[in-house]
Amino acid sequence: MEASLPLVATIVSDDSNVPRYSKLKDIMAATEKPVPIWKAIDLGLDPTRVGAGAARAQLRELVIPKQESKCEFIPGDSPEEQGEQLAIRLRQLKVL
Amino acid sequence: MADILVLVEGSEAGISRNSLEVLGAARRLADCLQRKIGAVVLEEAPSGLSEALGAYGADTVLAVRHPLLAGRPPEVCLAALQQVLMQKKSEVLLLADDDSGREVAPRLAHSLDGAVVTEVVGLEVEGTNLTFRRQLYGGRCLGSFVPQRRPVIATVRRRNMEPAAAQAGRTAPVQEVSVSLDPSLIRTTVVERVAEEVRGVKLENARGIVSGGRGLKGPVPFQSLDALAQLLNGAMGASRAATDAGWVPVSRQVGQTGKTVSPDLYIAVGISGAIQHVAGMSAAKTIVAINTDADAPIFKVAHLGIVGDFKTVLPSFTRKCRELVGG
Repeated sequence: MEASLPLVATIVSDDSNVPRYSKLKDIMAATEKPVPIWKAIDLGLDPTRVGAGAARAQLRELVIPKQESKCEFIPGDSPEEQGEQLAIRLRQLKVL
Repeated sequence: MADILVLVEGSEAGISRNSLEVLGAARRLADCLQRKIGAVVLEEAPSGLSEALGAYGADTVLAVRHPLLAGRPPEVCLAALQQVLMQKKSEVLLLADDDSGREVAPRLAHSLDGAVVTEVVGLEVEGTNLTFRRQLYGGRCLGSFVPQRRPVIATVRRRNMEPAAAQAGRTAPVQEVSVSLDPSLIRTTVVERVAEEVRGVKLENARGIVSGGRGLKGPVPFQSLDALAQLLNGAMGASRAATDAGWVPVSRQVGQTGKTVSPDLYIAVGISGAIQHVAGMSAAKTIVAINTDADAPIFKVAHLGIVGDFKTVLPSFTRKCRELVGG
């Protein structure tokens, strides 16, 4: 792709990008760096247009889906037999 | 009342599977809200796609035809959709949750001062209230969102909705919508296209997937997984552990940071079932797990399981499969 500046790009997790891990020295140095804290007002943002109250889609409910295991374990006297039985069961279920 | 709009994609081969699912979702919404469905088609020139849409539930087809839509640059699609939504005073637009849908939806919602919900896996109607469900935190949670603005732009995740079924003889009038588009809209241009080299079936489209993970302990066993995948007319996948170790190319990775798949059959071999992996494959219809550890979380999502070593299970399974499918 070609684009003119300024541009925003998102990067995928991929072979072509090697993560840059921080060295211990840098981690130590980072603790010394000043961390400025900006509030919405410092950025000139209208408080009615930022934050949860201004969200255009409100989160009504948040649930952790119940994961009840419904796994059917394939029986068999040996792993070989289990393997065969698995194929037969998949055929019965019309998956295969 | 304004129609529920659906952006439909397709080719000479017909309407894309994703779009059929989006049409299916729109039908439910339209019936609950007693609205009609307007199917939006963006194309360079008439392709015949518009005429096919009545059979899949569209009540009207809104065809936007413009030479700048060639190659579907996102900025041009965005501008076209903006104008269609404004002309039709639409309150809801559903798109497929694919690369282009995810790119266009937020920009469209923002530009029209509306709301956006992406990766929708379910939708409900209470009165005139719409609720959209989507996964959060890498699949750990399900959130229900109520859009506070109109229009609502939502992208529907693949393989979560029943696709619209064809109704023979049903037709919909095709209305051409004129929009004004300008070449200066285009901010990014494609310089070169290189097709990803895929032998056989693409992972995202495969009806059967055989995936391997850390339990395979090296690259060699993936050959037998690949052979099994070929036998099932499917594709081979892997967990992040396997791609990180360099046993399998990253293009094969299934999971939160890899590909999201929803085949009819997913066979997880030597995969423990970390939440990030499950997020990418939990929509599979039938999940089979083969793992030595009976407590592995993969058995929580699996429908069929074998606690055992793949080295002893897989050969007999593959043999029996070959016998049954007659390969």
